[in-house]
Amino acid sequence: MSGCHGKLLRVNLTEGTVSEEVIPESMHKKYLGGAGLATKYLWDEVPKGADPLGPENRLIFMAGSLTGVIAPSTGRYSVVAKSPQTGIWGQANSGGRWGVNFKKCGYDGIIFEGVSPEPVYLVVEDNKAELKDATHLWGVNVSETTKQIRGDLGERYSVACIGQAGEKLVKYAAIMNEFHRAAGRCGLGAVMGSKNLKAIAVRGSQKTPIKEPEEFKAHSRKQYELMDESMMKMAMQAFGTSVVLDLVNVRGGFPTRNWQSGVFELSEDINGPAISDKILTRNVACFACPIACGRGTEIKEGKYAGNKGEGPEYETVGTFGGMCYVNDLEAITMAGYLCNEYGIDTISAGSTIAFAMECYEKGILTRNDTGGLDINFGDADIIVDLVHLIARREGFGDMLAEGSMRMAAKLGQGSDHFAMHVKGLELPAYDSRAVQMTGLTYATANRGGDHVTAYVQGPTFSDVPFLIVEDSEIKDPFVADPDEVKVARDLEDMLVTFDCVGACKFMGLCLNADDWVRLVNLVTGWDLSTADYKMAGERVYNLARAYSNREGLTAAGDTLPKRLLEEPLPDGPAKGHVNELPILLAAYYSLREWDPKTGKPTPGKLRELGLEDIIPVIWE
Amino acid sequence: MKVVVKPFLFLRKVLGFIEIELELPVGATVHDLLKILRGQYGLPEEIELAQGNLMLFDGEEPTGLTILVEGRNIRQLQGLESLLNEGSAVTIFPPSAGG
Repeated sequence: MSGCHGKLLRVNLTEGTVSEEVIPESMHKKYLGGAGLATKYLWDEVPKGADPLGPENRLIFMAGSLTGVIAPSTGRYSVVAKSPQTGIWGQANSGGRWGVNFKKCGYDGIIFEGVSPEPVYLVVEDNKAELKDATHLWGVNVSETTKQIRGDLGERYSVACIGQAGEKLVKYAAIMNEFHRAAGRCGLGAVMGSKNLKAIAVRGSQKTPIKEPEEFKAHSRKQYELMDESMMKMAMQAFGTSVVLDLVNVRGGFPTRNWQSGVFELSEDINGPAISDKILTRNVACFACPIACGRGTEIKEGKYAGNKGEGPEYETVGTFGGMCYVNDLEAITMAGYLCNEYGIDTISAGSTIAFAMECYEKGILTRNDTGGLDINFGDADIIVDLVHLIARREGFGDMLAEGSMRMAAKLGQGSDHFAMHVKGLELPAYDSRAVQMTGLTYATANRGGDHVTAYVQGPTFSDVPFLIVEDSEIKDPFVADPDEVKVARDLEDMLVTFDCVGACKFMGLCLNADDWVRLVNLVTGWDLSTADYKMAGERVYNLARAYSNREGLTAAGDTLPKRLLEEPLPDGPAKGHVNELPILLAAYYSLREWDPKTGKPTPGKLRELGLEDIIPVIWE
Repeated sequence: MKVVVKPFLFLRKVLGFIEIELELPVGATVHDLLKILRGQYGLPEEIELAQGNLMLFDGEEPTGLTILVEGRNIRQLQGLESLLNEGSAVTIFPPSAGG
């Protein structure tokens, strides 16, 4: 087999056993590895209705066929489980080097099952793995856990771990690797915590077998050259992911005061150039990445001066900044550092705090609820203080740790109108009322309120189409054009393959599909046409959807917060706009061949995708 | 009539201002504005960056610029012929996506 090792580790945490399993090549090819393959295992192994934080749930780490080969930004891995935050298919993805170093051990993935009676961590080396006691690491943050494990095993080990938030089952706890990189979304850190699994330390020496090494090398070099010529690369390298902040704000789509406005008048204090001027110390690149959008930073002024770390990314600035109406870059950066240390998704954390701020503003939350704290928009100190409380579930933090959907259900009083999540996953920092197609993709993204499933913000906010699909141009983002739902569908199907093969979706902006599929074929020895490859993406997308259908998701779940559907934007270029979701959703369902009532993929579509075996399960 | 021009990111250094108010004749278009920015304010055909050379124009076409009038991309208006009005805010970006 090429592109992979064809085997995975199965770790039964209840029994404390580790075993090896063969991954059939036909299965690898059918689901493209990575997140796709992991989703197939999730479908097969986790029974309907399983408790996401119980022993039946699986926590599946999976690298892809390109993970670890030298091609543009191909060092990523995925984690898949039933999400405790949403109760449906959960997936998170991370870069850095952990995925590469894990795959060097001679495995493509790990399936964790059961619950360990005591805290443990897994050590994986060349063709072997063992569980070790982690009692001494329980209650320890991410950087200390990483340092202690490296101190015990050796500095060359890569560590993925949870912090205190995962241990405390914070609904949006992240899994962190190499200190600063996060498999952030869907609360998979809480799944890891529920299993009493603290960390996975890896060190190996095996190369990923490449089917056509010489041809691959030449073709990959060409892709790097194309990246070098890309104008996208220049801006992202210079300003990181926050490069888009000003454009989003000028278009009136930068969520401000928990989405009460789409224009943040203080954006110059926290935008990409502000990060470069005030805190940037170096660019940080993931494995084999030609861009290096990561920000190595140090806080140089104010009460948090002297702290160092990575970030903030655009989303961290958008949630802790715009949504919380905070223009103090140092406090935002500190909140981001703390999220990394505790292992928390910054999107859900910042968004949930913004929700609490609006509840407080409206008197739905009072000092009686908050333990005497004033939770006001614009309070830079409180965003930092609340991250500590969330991670430890202390005081008011215990309620915040449940996320905005559960908070709104508990608080009532109409707060669900402005609880900014889809399916329980908090929305990222793009107001979709300013760009209609983004609203559709929030409503339909398989893991809930997410922006990178379709990543349609390139075409909508930036007027930059993705080269990886044939046509992703959006003529006018103000117009909800049903003929353009194909853009959303095509992007979803194509970009999910990046989570399968282990690459960064940003590459899809600059590289075309034929070249990309050739890269995959030269590594794996597969003979996939571009159409085959895209269909494999569609297969994975529909399998993940079917998983969630089996858990009870229907068409009713494909919606948006009432604020986006009913409350017009009060200012900016998109003033007066709401999301016109129904017209787009109807066209999308028709194109997807999903049943408009149940929201399930039709039997005909499932047959076309080679997923016949799941028809009787979801259409029982 | 007065028009406000706001460049972002790399373009600030090139143009030497964060925001400027320009007096333009009634009926002026984005095309007219770009001529002024190129002729009087030194907006070049391409800029040299540490990351490489960034082409801004291909002849008259601003292929390397995202230009918005009142937050609307001129591609969704009348392109270079988009009319400017008294008080129009024109924002100009280099190509940027990601985030």
